Amino acid sequence: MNNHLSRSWLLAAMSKPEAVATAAQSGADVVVLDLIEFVAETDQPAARQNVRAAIATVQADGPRVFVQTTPTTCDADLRAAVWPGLSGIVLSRAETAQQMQSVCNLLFLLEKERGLGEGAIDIVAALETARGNQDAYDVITASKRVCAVTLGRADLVMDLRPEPSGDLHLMPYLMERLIIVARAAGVTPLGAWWRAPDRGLLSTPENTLQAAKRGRAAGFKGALCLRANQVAPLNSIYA
Amino acid sequence: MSQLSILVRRSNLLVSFNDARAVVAAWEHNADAITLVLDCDAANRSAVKAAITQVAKGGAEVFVRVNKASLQADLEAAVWPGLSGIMLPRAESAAEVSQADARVAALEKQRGIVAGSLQFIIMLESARGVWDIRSIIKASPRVTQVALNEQALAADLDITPLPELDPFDYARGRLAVEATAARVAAVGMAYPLSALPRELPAAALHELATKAKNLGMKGVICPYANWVAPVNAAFTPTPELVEWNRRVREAFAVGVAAGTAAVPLDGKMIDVPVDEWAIVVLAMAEACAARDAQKRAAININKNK
Repeated sequence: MNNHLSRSWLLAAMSKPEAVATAAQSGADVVVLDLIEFVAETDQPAARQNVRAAIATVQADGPRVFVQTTPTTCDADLRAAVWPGLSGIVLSRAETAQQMQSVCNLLFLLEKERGLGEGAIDIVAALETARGNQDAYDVITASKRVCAVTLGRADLVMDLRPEPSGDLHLMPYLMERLIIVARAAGVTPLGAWWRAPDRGLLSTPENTLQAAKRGRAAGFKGALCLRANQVAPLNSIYA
Repeated sequence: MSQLSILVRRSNLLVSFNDARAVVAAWEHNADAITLVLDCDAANRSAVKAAITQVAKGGAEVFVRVNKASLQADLEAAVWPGLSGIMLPRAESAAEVSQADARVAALEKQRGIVAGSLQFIIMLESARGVWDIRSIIKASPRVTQVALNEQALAADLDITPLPELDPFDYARGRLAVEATAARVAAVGMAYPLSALPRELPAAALHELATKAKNLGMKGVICPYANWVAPVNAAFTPTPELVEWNRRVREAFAVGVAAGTAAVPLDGKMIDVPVDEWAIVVLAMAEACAARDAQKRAAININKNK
Protein backbone atom coordinates (compact mmCIF):
# COMPACT_ATOMS: atom_id res chain seq x y z
CA MET A 1 0.00 0.00 0.00
CA ASN A 2 2.66 2.43 1.02
CA ASN A 3 4.49 1.90 -2.25
CA HIS A 4 1.45 3.12 -4.15
CA LEU A 5 0.03 6.55 -4.59
CA SER A 6 -3.38 6.75 -3.00
CA ARG A 7 -4.31 10.40 -3.24
CA SER A 8 -7.53 10.05 -5.21
CA TRP A 9 -10.05 7.22 -5.05
CA LEU A 10 -12.70 7.67 -7.74
CA LEU A 11 -15.90 5.70 -7.31
CA ALA A 12 -17.64 4.42 -10.45
CA ALA A 13 -20.94 2.53 -10.42
CA MET A 14 -20.69 -0.75 -12.31
CA SER A 15 -24.19 -0.09 -13.68
CA LYS A 16 -22.82 2.87 -15.66
CA PRO A 17 -20.29 1.67 -18.24
CA GLU A 18 -19.54 5.24 -19.35
CA ALA A 19 -18.66 6.19 -15.74
CA VAL A 20 -16.31 3.23 -15.56
CA ALA A 21 -14.66 4.20 -18.83
CA THR A 22 -14.29 7.82 -17.70
CA ALA A 23 -12.84 6.73 -14.36
CA ALA A 24 -10.21 4.63 -16.05
CA GLN A 25 -8.97 7.70 -17.92
CA SER A 26 -9.40 10.17 -15.05
CA GLY A 27 -5.91 10.09 -13.62
CA ALA A 28 -7.23 8.72 -10.33
CA ASP A 29 -4.70 6.72 -8.35
CA VAL A 30 -7.39 4.21 -7.50
CA VAL A 31 -10.69 3.45 -9.25
CA VAL A 32 -13.29 1.95 -6.95
CA LEU A 33 -15.82 -0.12 -8.91
CA ASP A 34 -19.02 0.01 -6.93
CA LEU A 35 -21.24 -3.05 -6.93
CA ILE A 36 -23.74 -2.10 -4.34
CA GLU A 37 -24.09 1.46 -3.08
CA PHE A 38 -24.92 3.22 -6.34
CA VAL A 39 -26.22 0.22 -8.25
CA ALA A 40 -29.95 -0.49 -8.20
CA GLU A 41 -30.78 -3.88 -6.79
CA THR A 42 -32.09 -5.13 -10.13
CA ASP A 43 -28.80 -4.16 -11.78
CA GLN A 44 -26.58 -5.82 -9.21
CA PRO A 45 -26.43 -9.29 -10.82
CA ALA A 46 -25.31 -7.74 -14.11
CA ALA A 47 -22.80 -5.57 -12.29
CA ARG A 48 -21.26 -8.66 -10.72
CA GLN A 49 -21.19 -10.43 -14.07
CA ASN A 50 -19.29 -7.58 -15.69
CA VAL A 51 -16.90 -6.67 -12.94
CA ARG A 52 -14.11 -9.12 -13.79
CA ALA A 53 -13.76 -7.68 -17.29
CA ALA A 54 -14.04 -4.13 -15.98
CA ILE A 55 -11.22 -4.72 -13.49
CA ALA A 56 -8.94 -5.88 -16.29
CA THR A 57 -9.86 -2.94 -18.54
CA VAL A 58 -9.46 -0.23 -15.89
CA GLN A 59 -6.27 -1.68 -14.50
CA ALA A 60 -4.75 -1.77 -17.98
CA ASP A 61 -5.17 2.01 -18.10
CA GLY A 62 -3.01 2.51 -15.02
CA PRO A 63 -5.07 2.99 -11.89
CA ARG A 64 -5.22 0.37 -9.19
CA VAL A 65 -8.67 -1.14 -8.89
CA PHE A 66 -10.74 -1.71 -5.77
CA VAL A 67 -14.35 -2.84 -5.59
CA GLN A 68 -16.88 -1.50 -3.15
CA THR A 69 -18.94 -3.98 -1.22
CA THR A 70 -20.77 -4.30 2.11
CA PRO A 71 -20.75 -6.93 4.86
CA THR A 72 -24.21 -8.12 3.81
CA THR A 73 -23.45 -8.54 0.09
CA CYS A 74 -19.76 -9.36 0.13
CA ASP A 75 -20.17 -13.07 -0.47
CA ALA A 76 -21.62 -12.58 -3.96
CA ASP A 77 -19.60 -9.42 -4.61
CA LEU A 78 -16.23 -10.91 -3.76
CA ARG A 79 -16.84 -14.14 -5.64
CA ALA A 80 -17.52 -11.97 -8.68
CA ALA A 81 -14.65 -9.57 -8.21
CA VAL A 82 -11.63 -11.29 -6.66
CA TRP A 83 -9.59 -11.97 -9.78
CA PRO A 84 -6.03 -11.11 -10.75
CA GLY A 85 -5.88 -7.37 -11.29
CA LEU A 86 -7.91 -6.48 -8.23
CA SER A 87 -5.92 -4.63 -5.56
CA GLY A 88 -8.47 -4.36 -2.80
CA ILE A 89 -11.96 -3.78 -1.55
CA VAL A 90 -13.76 -0.90 0.09
CA LEU A 91 -15.94 -2.41 2.78
CA SER A 92 -18.80 0.01 3.26
CA ARG A 93 -20.73 0.10 6.52
CA ALA A 94 -18.03 -1.90 8.26
CA GLU A 95 -19.02 -2.17 11.89
CA THR A 96 -17.38 -5.02 13.73
CA ALA A 97 -14.10 -6.88 13.99
CA GLN A 98 -16.03 -10.07 13.38
CA GLN A 99 -17.25 -8.82 10.01
CA MET A 100 -13.71 -7.96 9.04
CA GLN A 101 -12.51 -11.42 9.99
CA SER A 102 -15.19 -13.19 8.03
CA VAL A 103 -14.46 -11.03 4.97
CA CYS A 104 -10.80 -11.92 5.39
CA ASN A 105 -11.52 -15.61 5.53
CA LEU A 106 -13.45 -15.37 2.29
CA LEU A 107 -10.61 -13.41 0.71
CA PHE A 108 -8.08 -16.08 1.71
CA LEU A 109 -10.20 -18.78 0.08
CA LEU A 110 -10.70 -16.80 -3.10
CA GLU A 111 -7.06 -15.77 -3.34
CA LYS A 112 -6.04 -19.40 -3.12
CA GLU A 113 -8.68 -20.61 -5.53
CA ARG A 114 -7.96 -17.93 -8.12
CA GLY A 115 -4.19 -17.87 -8.04
CA LEU A 116 -3.69 -14.56 -6.26
CA GLY A 117 -0.94 -14.19 -3.69
CA GLU A 118 -2.03 -14.74 -0.12
CA GLY A 119 -3.01 -11.40 1.37
CA ALA A 120 -2.94 -9.69 -2.03
CA ILE A 121 -6.29 -8.01 -1.50
CA ASP A 122 -6.24 -4.91 0.72
CA ILE A 123 -9.23 -3.58 2.62
CA VAL A 124 -10.38 0.00 3.09
CA ALA A 125 -12.79 0.14 6.02
CA ALA A 126 -15.53 2.69 5.34
CA LEU A 127 -17.19 3.49 8.65
CA GLU A 128 -20.68 4.81 8.14
CA THR A 129 -22.44 4.06 11.39
CA ALA A 130 -22.06 5.18 14.99
CA ARG A 131 -21.08 1.68 15.99
CA GLY A 132 -18.42 1.39 13.30
CA ASN A 133 -16.94 4.70 14.40
CA GLN A 134 -17.12 3.86 18.07
CA ASP A 135 -15.30 0.58 17.50
CA ALA A 136 -13.02 1.91 14.78
CA TYR A 137 -9.81 0.76 16.43
CA ASP A 138 -11.01 -2.84 16.78
CA VAL A 139 -12.44 -2.89 13.27
CA ILE A 140 -9.22 -1.59 11.75
CA THR A 141 -6.92 -3.87 13.69
CA ALA A 142 -9.04 -6.97 13.05
CA SER A 143 -7.04 -7.70 9.92
CA LYS A 144 -3.61 -6.91 8.55
CA ARG A 145 -5.31 -6.36 5.22
CA VAL A 146 -6.79 -3.07 6.36
CA CYS A 147 -4.65 -0.43 4.72
CA ALA A 148 -6.89 2.59 5.06
CA VAL A 149 -10.00 3.87 6.75
CA THR A 150 -12.59 6.49 5.82
CA LEU A 151 -15.87 7.83 7.09
CA GLY A 152 -17.33 6.97 3.72
CA ARG A 153 -20.48 8.85 3.06
CA ALA A 154 -21.10 9.12 6.78
CA ASP A 155 -22.85 12.43 6.45
CA LEU A 156 -25.38 10.84 4.12
CA VAL A 157 -26.24 7.50 5.56
CA MET A 158 -24.86 7.16 9.01
CA ASP A 159 -27.38 6.38 11.62
CA LEU A 160 -26.69 9.55 13.53
CA ARG A 161 -28.84 11.23 10.84
CA PRO A 162 -28.01 14.36 8.88
CA GLU A 163 -28.02 17.65 10.72
CA PRO A 164 -31.33 19.45 10.21
CA SER A 165 -29.44 22.71 9.74
CA GLY A 166 -27.68 21.30 6.71
CA ASP A 167 -24.34 21.65 8.50
CA LEU A 168 -22.11 18.75 9.35
CA HIS A 169 -21.65 19.45 13.02
CA LEU A 170 -20.66 15.94 14.01
CA MET A 171 -18.12 15.52 11.29
CA PRO A 172 -15.16 17.42 12.79
CA TYR A 173 -15.34 15.26 15.91
CA LEU A 174 -15.65 12.04 13.91
CA MET A 175 -12.95 13.00 11.42
CA GLU A 176 -10.42 14.08 14.04
CA ARG A 177 -11.08 10.97 16.06
CA LEU A 178 -10.70 8.73 13.04
CA ILE A 179 -7.37 10.37 12.13
CA ILE A 180 -6.04 9.65 15.63
CA VAL A 181 -7.36 6.09 15.54
CA ALA A 182 -5.93 5.46 12.07
CA ARG A 183 -2.49 6.67 13.07
CA ALA A 184 -2.56 4.67 16.30
CA ALA A 185 -3.56 1.58 14.32
CA GLY A 186 -1.03 2.24 11.56
CA VAL A 187 -3.40 2.71 8.60
CA THR A 188 -4.02 5.59 6.22
CA PRO A 189 -6.92 7.94 6.98
CA LEU A 190 -8.83 8.92 3.84
CA GLY A 191 -11.19 11.88 3.61
CA ALA A 192 -11.50 15.58 3.04
CA TRP A 193 -12.82 18.38 5.21
CA TRP A 194 -16.11 19.09 3.40
CA ARG A 195 -18.26 22.00 4.40
CA ALA A 196 -21.94 22.66 3.92
CA PRO A 197 -23.62 22.80 1.48
CA ASP A 198 -21.26 20.22 -0.02
CA ARG A 199 -22.08 16.67 0.87
CA GLY A 200 -18.60 15.71 -0.04
CA LEU A 201 -18.32 13.36 -2.92
CA LEU A 202 -20.28 15.49 -5.40
CA SER A 203 -18.44 18.72 -4.79
CA THR A 204 -17.16 21.12 -7.45
CA PRO A 205 -13.46 20.97 -8.31
CA GLU A 206 -12.80 24.24 -6.48
CA ASN A 207 -14.64 23.13 -3.33
CA THR A 208 -12.89 19.79 -3.55
CA LEU A 209 -9.57 21.61 -3.63
CA GLN A 210 -10.45 23.59 -0.50
CA ALA A 211 -11.79 20.49 1.28
CA ALA A 212 -8.60 18.64 0.41
CA LYS A 213 -6.42 21.47 1.75
CA ARG A 214 -8.30 21.43 5.03
CA GLY A 215 -8.30 17.63 5.03
CA ARG A 216 -4.57 17.46 4.50
CA ALA A 217 -3.98 19.94 7.34
CA ALA A 218 -6.12 17.80 9.63
CA GLY A 219 -4.32 14.56 8.77
CA PHE A 220 -6.06 12.88 5.85
CA LYS A 221 -3.72 11.44 3.22
CA GLY A 222 -6.11 11.01 0.29
CA ALA A 223 -9.83 11.04 -0.41
CA LEU A 224 -12.65 9.31 -2.19
CA CYS A 225 -14.64 11.20 -4.82
CA LEU A 226 -17.49 10.58 -7.24
CA ARG A 227 -16.65 12.79 -10.20
CA ALA A 228 -13.69 12.61 -12.53
CA ASN A 229 -13.12 16.37 -12.27
CA GLN A 230 -12.43 16.01 -8.54
CA VAL A 231 -9.38 13.85 -9.22
CA ALA A 232 -6.99 16.64 -10.26
CA PRO A 233 -7.57 18.75 -7.11
CA LEU A 234 -7.15 15.69 -4.89
CA ASN A 235 -3.95 14.67 -6.67
CA SER A 236 -2.53 18.17 -6.39
CA ILE A 237 -3.21 18.53 -2.65
CA TYR A 238 -2.57 15.04 -1.36
CA ALA A 239 0.78 14.95 -3.14
CA MET B 1 -12.35 19.20 47.80
CA SER B 2 -10.26 16.82 45.77
CA GLN B 3 -6.53 17.23 45.54
CA LEU B 4 -6.99 18.22 41.91
CA SER B 5 -8.77 21.42 42.77
CA ILE B 6 -5.92 22.76 44.88
CA LEU B 7 -2.93 21.82 42.75
CA VAL B 8 -1.59 25.25 41.86
CA ARG B 9 0.69 24.66 38.92
CA ARG B 10 -0.54 27.31 36.52
CA SER B 11 2.70 27.87 34.64
CA ASN B 12 5.44 25.36 34.04
CA LEU B 13 8.41 27.00 32.33
CA LEU B 14 10.58 24.82 30.12
CA VAL B 15 14.28 25.57 30.44
CA SER B 16 16.96 23.82 28.46
CA PHE B 17 19.50 22.33 30.84
CA ASN B 18 22.19 22.97 28.22
CA ASP B 19 21.46 26.70 28.22
CA ALA B 20 23.48 27.81 31.25
CA ARG B 21 22.24 31.42 31.10
CA ALA B 22 18.61 30.33 30.94
CA VAL B 23 19.15 28.00 33.91
CA VAL B 24 20.64 30.86 35.94
CA ALA B 25 17.83 33.28 35.07
CA ALA B 26 14.84 30.92 35.20
CA TRP B 27 13.93 31.49 38.86
CA GLU B 28 13.20 35.18 38.30
CA HIS B 29 10.25 34.58 35.98
CA ASN B 30 7.77 33.68 38.73
CA ALA B 31 6.74 30.34 37.24
CA ASP B 32 4.87 27.95 39.53
CA ALA B 33 7.02 25.17 38.16
CA ILE B 34 10.21 24.96 36.12
CA THR B 35 11.10 21.95 34.05
CA LEU B 36 14.73 21.37 33.18
CA VAL B 37 14.83 19.83 29.73
CA LEU B 38 17.61 17.27 29.63
CA ASP B 39 19.10 16.28 26.27
CA CYS B 40 19.81 12.63 25.54
CA ASP B 41 23.48 13.39 25.06
CA ALA B 42 23.89 15.88 27.91
CA ALA B 43 27.50 15.40 28.98
CA ASN B 44 27.39 17.12 32.36
CA ARG B 45 24.60 15.15 33.99
CA SER B 46 26.28 15.57 37.36
CA ALA B 47 25.38 19.26 37.18
CA VAL B 48 21.64 18.57 37.16
CA LYS B 49 21.57 18.40 40.96
CA ALA B 50 22.93 21.95 41.27
CA ALA B 51 20.64 23.20 38.50
CA ILE B 52 17.62 21.92 40.44
CA THR B 53 18.67 24.05 43.41
CA GLN B 54 19.38 27.02 41.16
CA VAL B 55 15.98 27.08 39.38
CA ALA B 56 14.15 26.50 42.69
CA LYS B 57 15.39 29.84 44.07
CA GLY B 58 12.09 31.55 43.19
CA GLY B 59 9.98 28.95 44.96
CA ALA B 60 9.08 27.03 41.82
CA GLU B 61 8.49 23.31 41.89
CA VAL B 62 11.21 21.69 39.83
CA PHE B 63 10.74 18.95 37.28
CA VAL B 64 13.19 17.31 34.91
CA ARG B 65 12.15 16.21 31.45
CA VAL B 66 13.92 12.94 30.80
CA ASN B 67 14.35 11.04 27.55
CA LYS B 68 13.08 7.61 26.65
CA ALA B 69 16.40 6.68 25.08
CA SER B 70 18.43 7.51 28.18
CA LEU B 71 15.80 7.04 30.86
CA GLN B 72 17.91 5.35 33.52
CA ALA B 73 20.85 7.77 33.20
CA ASP B 74 18.48 10.74 33.16
CA LEU B 75 16.62 9.58 36.26
CA GLU B 76 19.88 8.97 38.09
CA ALA B 77 20.96 12.49 37.21
CA ALA B 78 17.64 14.05 38.22
CA VAL B 79 16.23 12.29 41.26
CA TRP B 80 17.55 14.30 44.18
CA PRO B 81 15.93 15.89 47.21
CA GLY B 82 14.34 19.14 46.06
CA LEU B 83 12.95 17.66 42.87
CA SER B 84 9.15 17.64 42.58
CA GLY B 85 8.97 15.17 39.78
CA ILE B 86 9.70 13.91 36.32
CA MET B 87 8.22 14.92 32.98
CA LEU B 88 7.88 11.80 30.83
CA PRO B 89 7.94 12.60 27.11
CA ARG B 90 6.11 10.72 24.36
CA ALA B 91 4.28 8.38 26.70
CA GLU B 92 2.63 5.63 24.68
CA SER B 93 1.87 2.80 27.07
CA ALA B 94 0.99 2.02 30.66
CA ALA B 95 3.97 -0.34 30.75
CA GLU B 96 6.53 2.39 30.20
CA VAL B 97 4.96 4.55 32.91
CA SER B 98 5.02 1.62 35.35
CA GLN B 99 8.64 1.00 34.49
CA ALA B 100 9.56 4.63 35.13
CA ASP B 101 7.61 4.45 38.40
CA ALA B 102 9.65 1.44 39.56
CA ARG B 103 12.94 3.11 38.67
CA VAL B 104 11.99 6.31 40.46
CA ALA B 105 10.88 4.31 43.50
CA ALA B 106 14.29 2.64 43.66
CA LEU B 107 16.06 6.00 43.46
CA GLU B 108 13.78 7.55 46.09
CA LYS B 109 14.78 4.79 48.47
CA GLN B 110 18.45 5.03 47.60
CA ARG B 111 18.58 8.82 48.02
CA GLY B 112 16.48 9.37 51.09
CA ILE B 113 13.43 10.80 49.36
CA VAL B 114 9.95 10.09 50.73
CA ALA B 115 8.63 7.03 48.91
CA GLY B 116 6.06 7.93 46.28
CA SER B 117 6.58 11.67 46.67
CA LEU B 118 7.95 12.35 43.20
CA GLN B 119 5.25 13.17 40.67
CA PHE B 120 4.94 12.49 36.97
CA ILE B 121 3.86 14.92 34.28
CA ILE B 122 2.86 12.83 31.27
CA MET B 123 3.45 14.24 27.79
CA LEU B 124 1.29 12.78 25.02
CA GLU B 125 3.05 13.37 21.74
CA SER B 126 1.57 10.81 19.37
CA ALA B 127 -1.74 9.37 18.20
CA ARG B 128 -0.88 6.21 20.10
CA GLY B 129 -0.55 8.17 23.33
CA VAL B 130 -3.78 10.10 22.76
CA TRP B 131 -5.67 6.91 22.00
CA ASP B 132 -4.33 5.06 25.08
CA ILE B 133 -4.46 8.01 27.49
CA ARG B 134 -6.70 6.24 29.97
CA SER B 135 -4.38 3.35 30.72
CA ILE B 136 -1.31 5.59 30.56
CA ILE B 137 -2.41 8.09 33.19
CA LYS B 138 -3.75 5.36 35.46
CA ALA B 139 -0.50 3.41 35.32
CA SER B 140 1.03 5.22 38.29
CA PRO B 141 -0.32 7.19 41.26
CA ARG B 142 2.56 9.60 40.66
CA VAL B 143 0.77 11.07 37.63
CA THR B 144 -0.62 14.47 38.62
CA GLN B 145 -0.69 16.22 35.25
CA VAL B 146 -1.02 15.19 31.63
CA ALA B 147 -0.39 17.38 28.61
CA LEU B 148 -0.72 17.15 24.87
CA ASN B 149 2.36 18.21 22.92
CA GLU B 150 0.48 19.39 19.85
CA GLN B 151 3.59 20.21 17.86
CA ALA B 152 4.78 16.65 18.32
CA LEU B 153 1.32 15.26 17.55
CA ALA B 154 1.27 17.25 14.30
CA ALA B 155 4.64 15.75 13.41
CA ASP B 156 3.37 12.28 14.28
CA LEU B 157 0.40 12.77 11.94
CA ASP B 158 2.70 14.37 9.38
CA ILE B 159 0.59 17.50 9.11
CA THR B 160 1.10 21.25 9.00
CA PRO B 161 -1.88 22.65 10.90
CA LEU B 162 -3.69 25.69 9.48
CA PRO B 163 -4.13 28.44 12.08
CA GLU B 164 -7.79 28.76 11.05
CA LEU B 165 -8.59 25.05 11.35
CA ASP B 166 -7.99 23.40 14.72
CA PRO B 167 -7.19 19.73 14.03
CA PHE B 168 -6.99 18.80 17.71
CA ASP B 169 -10.41 19.62 19.15
CA TYR B 170 -10.97 15.93 19.62
CA ALA B 171 -7.54 15.15 21.07
CA ARG B 172 -7.71 18.11 23.46
CA GLY B 173 -11.27 17.25 24.46
CA ARG B 174 -10.26 13.65 25.07
CA LEU B 175 -7.38 14.90 27.21
CA ALA B 176 -9.64 17.11 29.33
CA VAL B 177 -12.32 14.47 29.86
CA GLU B 178 -10.04 11.50 30.48
CA ALA B 179 -7.78 13.48 32.79
CA THR B 180 -10.65 14.88 34.81
CA ALA B 181 -12.21 11.44 35.13
CA ALA B 182 -8.89 10.07 36.41
CA ARG B 183 -8.42 13.00 38.84
CA VAL B 184 -5.37 14.16 36.94
CA ALA B 185 -4.93 17.77 35.82
CA ALA B 186 -5.05 18.38 32.08
CA VAL B 187 -2.49 20.90 30.91
CA GLY B 188 -2.38 22.85 27.69
CA MET B 189 -2.67 26.08 25.74
CA ALA B 190 -5.52 27.02 23.36
CA TYR B 191 -5.29 26.72 19.58
CA PRO B 192 -3.51 27.90 17.48
CA LEU B 193 -0.79 28.70 20.02
CA SER B 194 -0.95 25.15 21.33
CA ALA B 195 0.21 23.71 18.01
CA LEU B 196 2.16 26.71 16.79
CA PRO B 197 3.78 28.13 19.94
CA ARG B 198 5.52 31.50 19.74
CA GLU B 199 6.01 34.68 21.68
CA LEU B 200 3.00 36.99 21.68
CA PRO B 201 1.98 40.18 23.49
CA ALA B 202 0.81 39.55 27.05
CA ALA B 203 -2.82 40.43 26.28
CA ALA B 204 -3.04 37.85 23.49
CA LEU B 205 -1.40 35.24 25.70
CA HIS B 206 -3.81 36.03 28.51
CA GLU B 207 -6.78 35.62 26.18
CA LEU B 208 -5.60 32.24 24.86
CA ALA B 209 -4.66 31.00 28.32
CA THR B 210 -8.13 31.96 29.55
CA LYS B 211 -9.60 30.03 26.65
CA ALA B 212 -7.44 27.05 27.64
CA LYS B 213 -8.76 27.29 31.18
CA ASN B 214 -12.30 27.26 29.82
CA LEU B 215 -11.44 24.15 27.80
CA GLY B 216 -10.72 22.32 31.05
CA MET B 217 -6.98 22.89 31.27
CA LYS B 218 -5.51 23.50 34.73
CA GLY B 219 -2.24 25.02 33.62
CA VAL B 220 0.09 25.61 30.70
CA ILE B 221 3.55 24.35 29.88
CA CYS B 222 5.38 27.49 28.81
CA PRO B 223 8.10 27.27 26.17
CA TYR B 224 8.85 30.99 26.56
CA ALA B 225 9.41 32.98 29.75
CA ASN B 226 7.02 35.70 28.59
CA TRP B 227 4.12 33.23 28.71
CA VAL B 228 4.47 32.84 32.49
CA ALA B 229 2.90 36.08 33.77
CA PRO B 230 -0.20 36.03 31.53
CA VAL B 231 -0.68 32.31 32.19
CA ASN B 232 -0.47 32.79 35.96
CA ALA B 233 -2.98 35.63 35.72
CA ALA B 234 -5.40 33.71 33.50
CA PHE B 235 -5.47 30.72 35.87
CA THR B 236 -5.87 32.85 39.02
CA PRO B 237 -9.44 33.82 39.98
CA THR B 238 -9.77 37.60 39.60
CA PRO B 239 -10.70 39.75 42.64
CA GLU B 240 -14.09 40.40 40.97
CA LEU B 241 -14.72 36.69 40.62
CA VAL B 242 -13.67 36.07 44.21
CA GLU B 243 -15.95 38.86 45.46
CA TRP B 244 -18.90 37.54 43.47
CA ASN B 245 -18.40 34.03 44.78
CA ARG B 246 -18.16 35.28 48.36
CA ARG B 247 -21.54 36.92 47.86
CA VAL B 248 -22.85 33.70 46.31
CA ARG B 249 -21.84 31.72 49.36
CA GLU B 250 -23.33 34.29 51.75
CA ALA B 251 -26.61 34.55 49.87
CA PHE B 252 -26.88 30.79 49.59
CA ALA B 253 -26.19 30.30 53.31
CA VAL B 254 -28.87 32.85 54.16
CA GLY B 255 -31.29 31.08 51.81
CA VAL B 256 -30.58 27.66 53.30
CA ALA B 257 -31.06 29.03 56.82
CA ALA B 258 -34.43 30.38 55.68
CA GLY B 259 -35.38 27.00 54.25
CA THR B 260 -34.73 27.44 50.50
CA ALA B 261 -31.91 26.08 48.33
CA ALA B 262 -32.55 28.47 45.44
CA VAL B 263 -31.76 32.11 46.03
CA PRO B 264 -31.83 35.01 43.57
CA LEU B 265 -28.74 37.23 43.49
CA ASP B 266 -28.30 40.10 41.01
CA GLY B 267 -30.82 38.43 38.71
CA LYS B 268 -29.09 35.05 38.85
CA MET B 269 -30.36 31.93 40.56
CA ILE B 270 -28.01 30.54 43.18
CA ASP B 271 -28.55 26.87 43.88
CA VAL B 272 -26.46 23.91 45.02
CA PRO B 273 -24.20 23.56 41.94
CA VAL B 274 -23.54 27.32 41.87
CA ASP B 275 -22.64 27.23 45.55
CA GLU B 276 -20.40 24.21 45.02
CA TRP B 277 -18.64 25.96 42.18
CA ALA B 278 -18.17 29.02 44.42
CA ILE B 279 -16.43 26.79 46.96
CA VAL B 280 -14.04 25.63 44.24
CA VAL B 281 -13.31 29.17 43.03
CA LEU B 282 -12.67 30.47 46.55
CA ALA B 283 -10.46 27.50 47.43
CA MET B 284 -8.51 28.03 44.22
CA ALA B 285 -8.13 31.74 44.93
CA GLU B 286 -6.83 30.99 48.40
CA ALA B 287 -4.44 28.35 47.13
CA CYS B 288 -3.14 30.72 44.44
CA ALA B 289 -2.64 33.49 47.00
CA ALA B 290 -0.75 31.11 49.30
CA ARG B 291 1.39 29.88 46.43
CA ASP B 292 2.13 33.42 45.30
CA ALA B 293 3.11 34.42 48.84
CA GLN B 294 5.44 31.44 49.03
CA LYS B 295 7.12 32.35 45.78
CA ARG B 296 7.34 36.03 46.72
CA ALA B 297 9.09 35.13 49.96
CA ALA B 298 11.58 32.92 48.15
CA ILE B 299 12.27 35.54 45.51
CA ASN B 300 12.76 38.29 48.12
CA ILE B 301 15.21 36.22 50.12
CA ASN B 302 17.28 35.43 47.05
CA LYS B 303 17.11 38.92 45.56
CA ASN B 304 18.50 40.39 48.75
CA LYS B 305 21.41 37.99 48.78
